[in-house]
Amino acid sequence: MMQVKTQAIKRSNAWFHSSDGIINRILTQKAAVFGFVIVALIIIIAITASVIAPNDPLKVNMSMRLKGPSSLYWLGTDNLGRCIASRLIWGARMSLIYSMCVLGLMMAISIPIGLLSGYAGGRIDTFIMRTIDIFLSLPTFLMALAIAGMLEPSVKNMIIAMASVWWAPYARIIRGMAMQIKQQDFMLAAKAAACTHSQIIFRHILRNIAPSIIVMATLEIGSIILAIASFSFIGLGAQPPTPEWGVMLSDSKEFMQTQPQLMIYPGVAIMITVMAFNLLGEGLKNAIQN
Amino acid sequence: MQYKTDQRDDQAIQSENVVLDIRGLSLEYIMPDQNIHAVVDLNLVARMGKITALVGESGSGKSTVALAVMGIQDKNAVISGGEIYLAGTDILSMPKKYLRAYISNHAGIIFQDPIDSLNPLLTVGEQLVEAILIHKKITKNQARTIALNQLLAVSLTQPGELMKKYPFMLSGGMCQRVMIAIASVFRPPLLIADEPTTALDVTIQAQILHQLDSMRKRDGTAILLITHDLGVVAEIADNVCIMKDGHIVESGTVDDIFYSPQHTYTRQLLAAAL
Amino acid sequence: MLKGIGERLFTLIPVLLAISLITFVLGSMSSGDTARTLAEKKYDRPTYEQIEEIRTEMGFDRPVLVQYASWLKDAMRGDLGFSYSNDRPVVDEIFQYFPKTLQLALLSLLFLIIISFTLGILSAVFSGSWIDKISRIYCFWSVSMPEFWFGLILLYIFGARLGLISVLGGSSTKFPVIPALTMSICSGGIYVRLIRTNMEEVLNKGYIRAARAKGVSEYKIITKHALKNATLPVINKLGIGFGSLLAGSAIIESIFSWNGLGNLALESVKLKDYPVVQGYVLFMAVFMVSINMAVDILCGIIDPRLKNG
Repeated sequence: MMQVKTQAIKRSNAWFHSSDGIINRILTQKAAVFGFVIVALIIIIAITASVIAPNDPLKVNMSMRLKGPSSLYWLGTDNLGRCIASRLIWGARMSLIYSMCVLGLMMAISIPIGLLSGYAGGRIDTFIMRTIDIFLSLPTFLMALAIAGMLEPSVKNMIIAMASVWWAPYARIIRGMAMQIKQQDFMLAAKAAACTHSQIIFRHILRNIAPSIIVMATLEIGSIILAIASFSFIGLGAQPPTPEWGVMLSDSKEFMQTQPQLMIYPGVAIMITVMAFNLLGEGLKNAIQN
Repeated sequence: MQYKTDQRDDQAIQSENVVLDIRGLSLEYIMPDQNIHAVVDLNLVARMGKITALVGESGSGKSTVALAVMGIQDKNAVISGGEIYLAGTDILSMPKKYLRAYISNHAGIIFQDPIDSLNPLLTVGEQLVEAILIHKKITKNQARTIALNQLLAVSLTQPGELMKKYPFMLSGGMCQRVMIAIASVFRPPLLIADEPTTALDVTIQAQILHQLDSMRKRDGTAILLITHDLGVVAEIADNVCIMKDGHIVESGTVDDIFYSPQHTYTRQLLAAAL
Repeated sequence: MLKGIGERLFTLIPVLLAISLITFVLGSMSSGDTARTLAEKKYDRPTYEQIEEIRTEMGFDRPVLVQYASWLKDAMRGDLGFSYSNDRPVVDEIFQYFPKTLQLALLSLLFLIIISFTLGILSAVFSGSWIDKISRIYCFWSVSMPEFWFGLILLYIFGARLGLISVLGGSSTKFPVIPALTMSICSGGIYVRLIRTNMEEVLNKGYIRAARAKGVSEYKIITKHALKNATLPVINKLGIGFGSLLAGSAIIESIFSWNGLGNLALESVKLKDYPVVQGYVLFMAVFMVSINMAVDILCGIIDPRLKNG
């Protein structure tokens, strides 16, 4: 007969192994809530930047270079005497604005194309899909680099470069969803009631896939913010003296050996922001799937 | 000689003919909300040269019993009581390191989905030779020879060609024969067949059942046949245990069960089938 | 199977054409008048006539499509023009710096495979244990972590503090270990997740259960039976991933001053040396697309189901 002790050990091992355990469920929910809180915080910081930032993020003050934290300069100053904390706070606003622009532009391109392709079917669909396939096989970073590199380096061009390469995967997914919805029964009902094409597309299809689109967008914001920071770091996006986190990192590189903290703050800001958006996105995805 | 039909035979362990003696087996699945009692106080005996059918609907726990006997139950399945005597030894009390070798030497199992039971990226020959080399320390070539003969023994033609093929190239019936070949290569005293014919065509079903039957006659293998199909039971089984919700509700010979069923559930099953 | 290769080659052509067209169009749209830039290099203060002379000489006055066609023709012959900054043929520049990028990418791939396979397999086999938890945290972290920041941090630790690598410049080391580690650690998350999922799926399959029943040792179950089945779909992704490593190494090369092609491209962008940038994009794109195709074919060979079915 089984010993009671081995029995108990077996029980706890077995429970551990069920990955859908209670602990996991609470954790994922908690994580998503945590993500939401941080995201909300970041948005608030971004919106109220001009109010809560202690100093002017662009004001250069060479006599106050590279000072440590104080009551006036919460996190100290950078190599040009600018307040780091203020630059970080305004950086949040920049990151959010730029990433929203990229996201908006991406969606503006991919949603109509995806819907059109999925709804119309036939030759239009094939043609569009071929185009999308070509775009999909383009190495994205490379193309964005090319575009941003060939044109004048600026935020506007960076946004255009990213959106013009990243719309493709979304168009494909949206097309897939549109095609799925098209098959469903209530679509036949709409057709029977002689709704016009655009009515069908906007009212019915779009409304149905809107939640999924929102989830996809949330999951994507993190990657976009990372990319924006990367591009700005190498000089192809936001230009100094814009208080953007990638620019700040680029500035800090020179002073790595003497003032490593300049490198830490913007990086941590990026990481926390991206993590928060990813947590939120995952939580939304799980919520929708259930 | 008359074999006792009562499954709760206390002298069964000592009897030479008893290959498998399950006593008071209880098994639970540990789930996040509450535990599921898949098997409750189950008693079952399988004897040499006899086919014992374990009959029940899906969810009755019959496959769980099979997996428990072979020692390959789910990770979150916990045996909470009972003994399983396989060829005279209680495997539930056996130290882990001897367990797998002992079980694989004394029992073989074939499953419901024969193609899924074979590794799609290895040839049939490789998988059969692997089974052989586990039990005997011989050279690969010697193992190959045994493998070829074994394939012939389960009525598969052109064994040489067959060994080079991948499972997806074979039909369901052929795969099931290969599984039988693998499971019985060194004539284990017990062969468990978990719904062996459910996924196969009717004509192939008959062939597989016939194969099992001839093994029983030729080698004296005890066969534990797990099924929900009473027709199959009627064809080849000697003894029957009816299982419902983890319990054995009735057991006896085929004649007893089919002609004088005692339990209401048994009667319901028969009525539904006939 | 040959038909499959032929089909793939066929779809390759429009992709390459699209890439070349885009890079060319970008080049011609680029800010600054190329003729003027070249003229300014040749003469100190070029007159209008001198600029126009160069324009006709270089063919910049022809219609765009004609220019594209002739550029394409040259490109296919291996002539990608000349660098603005040092007048060397672009192809020479590319082939001089490419080996270093390739070296970095290969080393990163090696590290990537080691990290992701180890973590992925262990966390699947010991599902629920601390290894599993750590690998989940790692997956999440690696997706959210800015690669270039991680590179900066490693540069600081190993360069500024430990002095193992040079912070300021020059590739003094033979093998780009730290840069490769940066790239592999930051891309590992996706693969760990993939391998773990595949491995878990495979370990629940019927043939694993049947193999256990046969008496196969747990070690053999993992290495002989489960591994192959779980990692086959990953090979495909890894091939594409290699392309990404190759194309995305630019920033890391720049941070660690590793004189590879990516670094050259970034420098050229800053110097507005468009022929080099164009050549870089075209070359990398072609290379990556070829790798994708090669990986596809490789998978077709390895998997017996694809080979015969």
